[in-house]
Amino acid sequence: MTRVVITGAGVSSPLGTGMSRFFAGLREARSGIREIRSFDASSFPVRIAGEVPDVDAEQMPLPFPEAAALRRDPKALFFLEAAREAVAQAFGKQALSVFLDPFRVGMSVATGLEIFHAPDLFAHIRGHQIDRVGLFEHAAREPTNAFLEIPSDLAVTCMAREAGIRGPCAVNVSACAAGSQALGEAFGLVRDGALDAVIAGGYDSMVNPIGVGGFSLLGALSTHNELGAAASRPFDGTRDGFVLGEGAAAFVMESVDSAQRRGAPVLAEVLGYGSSLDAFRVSDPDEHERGAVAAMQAALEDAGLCPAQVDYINAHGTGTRKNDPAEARAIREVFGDAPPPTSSTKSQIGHLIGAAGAVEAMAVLFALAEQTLPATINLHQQDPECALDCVPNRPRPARVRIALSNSFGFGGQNACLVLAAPDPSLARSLV
Amino acid sequence: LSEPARIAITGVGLHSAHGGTDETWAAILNNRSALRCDHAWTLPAAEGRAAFPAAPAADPSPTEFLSDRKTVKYMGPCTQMAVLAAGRALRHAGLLGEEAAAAREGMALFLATGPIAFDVEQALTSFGDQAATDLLALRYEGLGRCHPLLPFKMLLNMPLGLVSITFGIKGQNFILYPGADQGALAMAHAVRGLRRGRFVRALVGGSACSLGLSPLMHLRRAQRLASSIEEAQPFSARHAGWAPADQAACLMLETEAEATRRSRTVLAYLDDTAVLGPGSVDHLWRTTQSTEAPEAVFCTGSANAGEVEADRERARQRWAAPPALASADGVLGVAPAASFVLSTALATLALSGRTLPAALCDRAPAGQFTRSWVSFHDQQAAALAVLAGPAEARP
Repeated sequence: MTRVVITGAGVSSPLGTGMSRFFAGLREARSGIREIRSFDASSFPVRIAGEVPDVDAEQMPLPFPEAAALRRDPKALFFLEAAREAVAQAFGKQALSVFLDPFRVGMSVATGLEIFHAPDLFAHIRGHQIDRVGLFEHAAREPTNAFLEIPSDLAVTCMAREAGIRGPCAVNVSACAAGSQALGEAFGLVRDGALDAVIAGGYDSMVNPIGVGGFSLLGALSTHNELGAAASRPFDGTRDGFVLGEGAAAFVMESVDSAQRRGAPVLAEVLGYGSSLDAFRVSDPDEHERGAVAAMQAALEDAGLCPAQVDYINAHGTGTRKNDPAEARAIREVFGDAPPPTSSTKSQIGHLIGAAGAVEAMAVLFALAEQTLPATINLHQQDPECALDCVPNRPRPARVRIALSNSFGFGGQNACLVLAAPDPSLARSLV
Repeated sequence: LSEPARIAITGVGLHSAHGGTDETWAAILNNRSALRCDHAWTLPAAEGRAAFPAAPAADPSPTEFLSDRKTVKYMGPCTQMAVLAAGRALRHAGLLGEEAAAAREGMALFLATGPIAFDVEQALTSFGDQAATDLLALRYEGLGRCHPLLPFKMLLNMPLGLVSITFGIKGQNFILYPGADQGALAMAHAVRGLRRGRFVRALVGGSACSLGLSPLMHLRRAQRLASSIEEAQPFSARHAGWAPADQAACLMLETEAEATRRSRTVLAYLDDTAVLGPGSVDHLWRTTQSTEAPEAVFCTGSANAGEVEADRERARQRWAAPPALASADGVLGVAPAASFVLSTALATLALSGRTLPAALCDRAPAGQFTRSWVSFHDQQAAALAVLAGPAEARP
């Protein structure tokens, strides 16, 4: 089987757009959580989120006219930013077709809900009914993909066309596990020789009235608006829910042969992937954490590693009352009484839902590249039920050769990735 | 080197406008179309627009497999149909009962969905009488008036979660969105995992609700909405557009060795699957490995007569004796994420009976029906599956 390496990476996050800004934010243990600015949230019980501060929808170049609809869907723009950064890092200014057969390059990308433009619909409410005829006629006059709802996969299609990709494009929607699943499936495609390279990643934004409203209805979000940047408190005894975030990350994964042929930089090696299902209840994790344990064990087995070889875990670590102790128990079940340091970068960027696993894989890249463990910020009274070394409040220098990234989805999907610092024998590395 | 495992299809599960697998297949054998114009989305005649044909699903309530009313309340129609199709495929494969619980537990589960009922109106109307006012409540009175179960009906991963929960499936998994190629990718992924020994059986499927406000808007904008039943017929010279449908289909895939060990009847073999990206259909037809000509190619998702003719021309270029073209689009309608799996399921049923129903094809194939391709392509993707009947020797 082929060894799989990451040769390009890009990110757009609440800490900023671009790897250098994201890495700087992690280095400085900065929070990207603040008052919501993208819509008027004053009537909502939750008024804080991790919004991307520096993507200008109006100024972003788009690959073709039909893509103009993407300007109404911020998450799609975040992905284009991230994917362009990743592709540029991997291939420079050259088209990827110079190096690779475009039919053997694919995409595996995670995303979330389609953006529903409520005002488009509200304009057609007559009395207490929707005027369907009016809607149909209006829709017929609008350009494709520009009215009512932007297809979730449109950004993937756009990126495939822009990069000249002719291989399969998978769009993963496994909720909070989607980002890690998309990366894991991309890894499998390259490792098995089905494709030579895959652009993998995730993008999402639920920071809109439907997203904030929907998760508020579930009681899943922290309502401590007054805490602002300190509201996201994974593993802390005072945590009261997660804070929504938005953003995207993208990676170029390819076979080591392909990377070596053109002397591409190797940022990390992907060693293993595991997924599982809780098959328990829609809204609660398995009370014995069997699904999470199975996914971590499957990823380690896939990588051919024993637990003691893992130097760092990037936790799912949402900050909900139920998730954090359940994940801590699962980690101890797999790693024993002395698990590796485990932090939650959701404390800094919030929960990016469909993009979470991808952006958190970028945090793992930070750990591997800078030999520094990202912190769990806002951790002042650690919950004794979360008995882990959570790297509280400050990043910590450490030897990090191998790291595990956990993603556990609402609905019972679990996905774990194992990444490693580049083997010095492979190619020149980022470090 | 050991030869890769041959992949057997041992169970088929459907939910369509006709009902379950047996009802759907019987309707096709009896040449009974599911398309009709008198559905809930018919526009008032006074507006001067003809109604469009569609195939709304039969009652999707999953009580056949799930008696827990509390769980059913969490489910949108796409999720309900996924549960029905999955349960029927498991039953067909002899994997439904308590005695098969252990076999189900490690099973892989790869689904595709979309469009789903993140169509606010459809999500809201599933709540009954309160529905019509909820949308207005969202606009005028804020969030507090909306139903607390609304998020569950909007989340795209719910078909995966609820199929897993209902049947106790805990293995490798994902759910993809929203086109027919995503269903084909689910199948391709299962085949790769089975051949590499990562698991011995996988449930794959697709579930889609095209009859919702947003999907219909998309079809209208993209000019893919047929305006008569005749226009929705792929083999008509007047073919122009789809009849949107609500559908789900699932296939139980396992290695031939595992099917033999369980003494299960093999319905058909899935010998190859391939999916490519935009503008790749010709490349895919040229390069797909298949040594012998199929008697029929099942096509789905063609938008007009020109596209069907292009498929016919591809077949002529590939084989000296071109196969018949077949399609369920004209009798069951089109539901994007479900349509490729559904076409594969129908080809499987036809291969297991060695007869291609007249209602599906442009002309009857000569002799027995023993080999089939399934094809899909649009502006974004192309997909193929290569199937062989149960008595076929390995190519």
